[in-house]
Amino acid sequence: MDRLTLRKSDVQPFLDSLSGDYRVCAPRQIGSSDFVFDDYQSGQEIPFDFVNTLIPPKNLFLQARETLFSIQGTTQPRILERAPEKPMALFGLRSCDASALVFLERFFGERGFEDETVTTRIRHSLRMVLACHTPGPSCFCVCCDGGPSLISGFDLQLTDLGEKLLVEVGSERGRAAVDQRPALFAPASEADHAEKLRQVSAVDQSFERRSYISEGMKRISLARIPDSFWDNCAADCQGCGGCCFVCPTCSCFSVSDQPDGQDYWRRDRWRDACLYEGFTREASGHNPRSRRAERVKRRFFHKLSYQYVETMGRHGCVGCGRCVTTCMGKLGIPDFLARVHDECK
Amino acid sequence: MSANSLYVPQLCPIERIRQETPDTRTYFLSACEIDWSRDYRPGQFVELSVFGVGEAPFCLSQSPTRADSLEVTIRKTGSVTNRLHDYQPGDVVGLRGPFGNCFPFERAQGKNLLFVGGGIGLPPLRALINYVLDHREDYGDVHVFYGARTPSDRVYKNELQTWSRSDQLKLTETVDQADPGWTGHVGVVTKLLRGLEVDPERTMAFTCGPPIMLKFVVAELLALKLAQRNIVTTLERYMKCGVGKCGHCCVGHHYICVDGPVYNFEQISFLPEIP
Repeated sequence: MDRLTLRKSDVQPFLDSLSGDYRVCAPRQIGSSDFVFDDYQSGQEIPFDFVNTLIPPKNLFLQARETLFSIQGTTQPRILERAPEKPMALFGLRSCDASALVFLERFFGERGFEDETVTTRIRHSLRMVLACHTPGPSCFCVCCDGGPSLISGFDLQLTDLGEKLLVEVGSERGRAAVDQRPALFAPASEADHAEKLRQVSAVDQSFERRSYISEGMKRISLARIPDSFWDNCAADCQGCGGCCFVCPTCSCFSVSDQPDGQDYWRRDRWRDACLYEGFTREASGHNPRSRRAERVKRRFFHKLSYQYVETMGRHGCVGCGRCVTTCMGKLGIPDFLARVHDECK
Repeated sequence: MSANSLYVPQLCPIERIRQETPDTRTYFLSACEIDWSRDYRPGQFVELSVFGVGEAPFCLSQSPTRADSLEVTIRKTGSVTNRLHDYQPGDVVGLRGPFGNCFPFERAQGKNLLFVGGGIGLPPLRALINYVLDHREDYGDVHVFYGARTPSDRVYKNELQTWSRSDQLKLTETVDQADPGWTGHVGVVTKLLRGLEVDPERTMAFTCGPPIMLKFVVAELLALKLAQRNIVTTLERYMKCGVGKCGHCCVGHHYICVDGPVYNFEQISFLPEIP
């Protein structure tokens, strides 16, 4: 793998130079301690010491609400397709979220039908992953094969070496981004690489190892969990769907037509959550998943059961910990798996 | 970057409309833009767009062997179907598909076939029934059981009359509530199956109807010693995309829209949530 270095003071010129070919996005601090992914503005301060963004960069690829196409007229309609988009360059996404994008690209290309809006956005993006040096309080990527650093699934991987970043090239796209800007990048030394390896080892050891996570996943797959367990979980779940919306791999959506001026409509898709009662309610009113316990079971089965590993190559959890922070009922994935573990002792 | 053709429907004018019952109509869609109008299989479905409202999935209700135009029989139930029932011939809908698997019409060859439909459950079966009638020599005896709430709630009344006089199949009908002109059976369709003489080794059953009917029909068919794998249905789930992406119809690790909607009851016994 090619290794280079980039001075932190050169990050802004680098991002500025990418903005011709790409829509450049980077984390931005909002309020006192929160970060969000947003369009990079030239000269904007780039944070390096943050755990992760509140909302995963998934939302740039599968937007909270977006228009599939527009329609003029109803009974004599004309379809107006979307204009092409500029590819995205994401600077500073975390390993877990980059792993999730690999998962989403696979999911949206699977089953004989390719959702090109999502797969093309991911495939054409320049993903510049910032390896983690400190686990956040709710992080558990080491238990879910989601980080803290990656060996694939990035175009450039960045490791913070103080004044500069170690830059590892992971794809042709990453290679081109570096090669076209020789003045900004210098070859990395053996010492730079050794420092990265030391960091990876140190951060790996600083994670708490939680054996109940893999044990709990096994038990979900075997499905030998009594109904009363799900009823208890459902009593704590508020049904808000927050975990689904902040999850970097959750991708369910709904579709309908929205008015958009006189005689115009947009066919919009927006993110949906399997924890909502209406998620499976049919036009007749029949709802095969009318109880919250059934919906909670469904969500965790989908995220964690081995049956999905067979088709998707991995569990639907990358260990980002956002569900832990979001859930009011202490049903984030590690908390839930601890319950499974206790239930099935 | 390309636009997302996966979700963009083809435009289809409605050629004509046949009122089946007070709340159910069959739409004959011009297949002019559609390149697969004879290339779908019985049991497959389409996503039909009513622009300004949205999209919903419907089974194609005619056999591809007879499809001069594409047929969908639709009951007025939700927002899409309510608006659609105001549509007239010449109005244009959107169509995506065909989606999903199909009835196992090849595995059924050489077998006697039972069809058990309830209410608006007949249209998907009718695609297969007419397919079988058009390949009559490949199949054994065909017996169609149809139950509706009242005589006026029966769909395809003319076709039912043709079937009742045909020597190609046997039709037995029943209604929950008769009216003065009704001379057929009265009661639930499951009653007609009780004590039926079948050769369970050589018989396959296809059934479609409301969940409560399915439950009792399957019990009767199992009592006739049919194997679970020889009892076939088409599942309905709320779905949006039809292509295994939106997540709504996912049950266990199956996407009903892609892996289904046709399942036999041996397969269904491995799916959670479906009785």
